Amino acid sequence: MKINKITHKNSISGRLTLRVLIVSAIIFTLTFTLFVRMAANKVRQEATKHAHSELSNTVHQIDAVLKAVETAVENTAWLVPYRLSSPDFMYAITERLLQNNRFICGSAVAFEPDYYASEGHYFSPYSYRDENGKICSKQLGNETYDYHYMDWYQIPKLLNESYWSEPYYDDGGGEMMMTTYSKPLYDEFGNLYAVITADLSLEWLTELVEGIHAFDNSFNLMVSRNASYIVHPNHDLILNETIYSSTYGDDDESLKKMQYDMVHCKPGEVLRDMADGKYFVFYSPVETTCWSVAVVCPRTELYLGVKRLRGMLIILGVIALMLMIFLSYYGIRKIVAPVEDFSGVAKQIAKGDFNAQLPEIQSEDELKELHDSFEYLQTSLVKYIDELKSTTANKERIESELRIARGIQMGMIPKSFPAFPDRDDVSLVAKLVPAKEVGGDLYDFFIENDKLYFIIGDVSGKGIPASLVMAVTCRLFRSVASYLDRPEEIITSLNNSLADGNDSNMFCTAFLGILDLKIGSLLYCNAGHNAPYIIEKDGKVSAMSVTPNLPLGLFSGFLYEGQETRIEKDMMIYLFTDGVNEAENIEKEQFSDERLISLLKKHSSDTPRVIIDETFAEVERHADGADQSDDITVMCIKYC
Amino acid sequence: MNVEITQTDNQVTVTLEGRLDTVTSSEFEKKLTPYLSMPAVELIMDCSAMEYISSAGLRVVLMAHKSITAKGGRFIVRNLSKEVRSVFDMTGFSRILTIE
Repeated sequence: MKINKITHKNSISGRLTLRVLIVSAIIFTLTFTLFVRMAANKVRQEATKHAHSELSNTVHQIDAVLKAVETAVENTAWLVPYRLSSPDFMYAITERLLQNNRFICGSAVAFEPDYYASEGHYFSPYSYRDENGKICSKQLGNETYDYHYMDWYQIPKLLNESYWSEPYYDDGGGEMMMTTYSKPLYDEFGNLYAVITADLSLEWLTELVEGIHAFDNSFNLMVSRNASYIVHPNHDLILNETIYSSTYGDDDESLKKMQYDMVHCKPGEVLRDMADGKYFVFYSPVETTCWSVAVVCPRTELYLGVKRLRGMLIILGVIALMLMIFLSYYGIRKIVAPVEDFSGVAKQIAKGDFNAQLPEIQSEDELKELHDSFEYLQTSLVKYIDELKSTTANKERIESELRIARGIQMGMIPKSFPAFPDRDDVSLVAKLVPAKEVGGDLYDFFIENDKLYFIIGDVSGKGIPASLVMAVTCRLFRSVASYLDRPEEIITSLNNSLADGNDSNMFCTAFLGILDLKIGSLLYCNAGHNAPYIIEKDGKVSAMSVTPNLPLGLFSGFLYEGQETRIEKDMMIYLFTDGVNEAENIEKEQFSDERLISLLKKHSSDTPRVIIDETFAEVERHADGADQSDDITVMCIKYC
Repeated sequence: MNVEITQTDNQVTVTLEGRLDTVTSSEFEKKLTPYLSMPAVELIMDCSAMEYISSAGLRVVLMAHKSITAKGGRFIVRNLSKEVRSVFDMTGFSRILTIE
């Protein structure tokens, strides 16, 4: 058998490492995802907090300025009713307002049409700062500048309350953005007679809002109550576009929320999905005017830290996993290395080296168990092989002894045929085939004084015990028959000898005959043996009449009866043991007396030699491969 | 071969089923041995289901007969089939055994 060397592809260490790797990777990925998400949330919270803190700071500054302007107007406006009688004093009031607050760049007290008969239809004393910062005054209203229809005059008049105008570009003084605070003034009857105003330059506002530095790469903007851009990096949008007009066609929910919040004086933040990426917009209102200041920051900018962190974590994770693969692979390899050693030992054992050195195992684990099992295997194998060797040796010895015993046993029966080549009055052939190496069947014959003495016998059982009894019986026959001349006397003598001390109750059936070759008379005695057949020349086959005497060796002193018959010329006596008629095939069917008789009838005119050979051939055909269960012996005597 | 042995007081009934040949007779001898040393026992061997007996089987039967009769007991063989009976007759066993 070819045993493939374990390749790393299929090794235990490889598989275990892969599993460790998969589990670790899953755990790492989950942890990583969770961590990054939490970090991103935290960053967003922090950014929101930071943006709103910056915004709140700016908004407060703006509010402070606006409040200061309102306060300055309040603190000055009370003078107006006291000085109504003196129209010229109004210039002093507007000048005073400019003096009080450096942010105010212009101020007017605009009267209702024809309030002063002396001053005409338009009367609006106005103070402003010239290029050098000097405060100058003039009368503003005339036919070309009918202030009564201006927003800053009309709206507070209609609303009956102070009003901050939408930012606007000053017509006179270049590209300066302004807003005007207007406060309506009423007489004791509640009738409006004038509106006092303060113009506020928004230069500082732009600077302030643009100066917010919440994040790198973030920009800021500001929109008015009417949603117009007041501050924006793209200056073209300022006062020209609104957060509605500039985003026309965009239906995003976040945009709608932002627009709503901004014009409704609400703080908040949204994530906008723009063409060039995602942006966070944080916004906060200026309470006084309901303007909204916003910080716009690219999402990537905000998450830059998270992104860096994520990158670092991925690198760290990959390094950790690789380290884990390396360590677990070599760690596991070190642990399972003895398994390969055991495999080597197993091969050595298979080659017959039972004392192959086992790998040393220090740990008390499964490997130790494997080690102990191998050790047990080795000692058991050595033991069994030793036992097998000795068993085999014993078996071989017994077999060799049995072969010798068989030789001895076969040597005890005459085997040279024709038995009496020098006689023409008798032809005798016999054959004995033991089932095992040695058997319990026997036959013997000899001629003395023209008398043929013959015996056939079957010792109970088979094998060595039977063979010993057979040997004794054979020898006894020769010695007893030499001095006794009647079959029943010989049999009785044999019986007494065998029965003496026969504790194991072995016995031997036998048929003994003495044929007088001169006259053809046959004296015989049967000791429990199958009745022989007489085959006549004309094909008649008949069983001899036998007295059912006891087999030999059972009861000492038993008196056997002898019988007598006459054999004609050309008659044959066919003697056999039960190995013939009781021979079995695989189905345990016996050969049977009937079949034997028909065989004998068929060959009644053949020679004893042929009859014997045909008997064995027919029995073998019947057995059809089944093991021979009993010794088979046949003897055929032809009287000529 | 199946052997069934039942005992009541000093009567033992052995029922044999199947073949009593060289192989099975040694097993039968082992099963029978404990009852052979009992004094004055009546051992009945029921052979109604016995199919075949070989010379080795006859030896065991004879041994049982000898042991039991030597101790004053009785050994009885019953219900022999025709084939088995012919073996007992041929070997002269019928003449020494009590066959019912």
